[in-house]
Amino acid sequence: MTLSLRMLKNREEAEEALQDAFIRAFNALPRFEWKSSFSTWFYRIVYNVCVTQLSKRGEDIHVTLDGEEGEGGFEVAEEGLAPDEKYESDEFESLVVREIERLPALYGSICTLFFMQDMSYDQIVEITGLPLGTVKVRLFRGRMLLRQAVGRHIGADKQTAA
Amino acid sequence: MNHLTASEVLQVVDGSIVNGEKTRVFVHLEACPRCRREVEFSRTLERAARSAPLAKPSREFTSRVMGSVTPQSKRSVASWFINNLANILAMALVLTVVWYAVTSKTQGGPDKGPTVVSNALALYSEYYTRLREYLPADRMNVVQKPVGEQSAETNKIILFTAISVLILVALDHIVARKAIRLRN
Repeated sequence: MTLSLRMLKNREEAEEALQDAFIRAFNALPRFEWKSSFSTWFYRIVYNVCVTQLSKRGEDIHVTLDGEEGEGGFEVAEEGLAPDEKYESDEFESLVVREIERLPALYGSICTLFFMQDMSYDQIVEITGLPLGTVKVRLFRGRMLLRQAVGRHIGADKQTAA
Repeated sequence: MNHLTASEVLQVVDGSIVNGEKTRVFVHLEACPRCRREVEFSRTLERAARSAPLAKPSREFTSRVMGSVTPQSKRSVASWFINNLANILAMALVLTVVWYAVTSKTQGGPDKGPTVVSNALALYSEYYTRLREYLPADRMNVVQKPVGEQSAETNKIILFTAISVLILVALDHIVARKAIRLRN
């Protein structure tokens, strides 16, 4: 459910996609060969259903973006520097979740599989069908976007408090 | 001072920094509070991302999915029949041939010529008759009666065979489905 929600950004559509994935998995079960793990196979179905749903909306997340060949070696921008104080963990956690939900499906899907489902690069490659290099770059960019968004929020909070 | 790149910060967080770079990066981290803070912040952020609660579907979701899946299982008898049509036809063919071979001897009309099976049965019947001439009557109970005299028993055997095959197929079907459920 988390994966479909992060990709489709809409609870009802995410549930529909998950339901569709369950029915597809149920029908395809006799053809499942147990070569990969069941969870990876099922996530692949969920991912593909969501990709189809996104392409109906006109969003193709399998298009390779410019500069996906490398991670880039840029330094962390001065304005997005890490805060020097500790944050309330609950408050901070909900901020992080909110920002993950806002990530574009392109990065949100891979970040969700990496963080929340604790999957390895190989498993993410198997689920998404993307090349390893693309998975690494998208994960890097997703983490950077998340870090910048959370940093911006904290910076804005600090300014409001001042 | 050249600060760490974003990629290097994430590699430190992941613990995936390559050996050749390790010394340079950690020496820099010792000396640079800004990069240390950055690594610490990224680490906290990723810890929060990993421990974030997973989204759960609504309460009606399970019943909705089961509702979509149940019609499939209602059709399962028909789909099972279609999937196993070849096996059923093969089984019916074998049973028909056996039935024909056995009954052609007993019903032997003018249009039915001798077959390999009926010839074999006739030979068996002839040996049985000869054997009866040589053996005493009490020992004859051990030897089976010829086919012509036991068509009712043959029918029973065929019926029992067919029922056994059906029971085996049903058991296989139930056991296979249970195994799939257990493997899930």
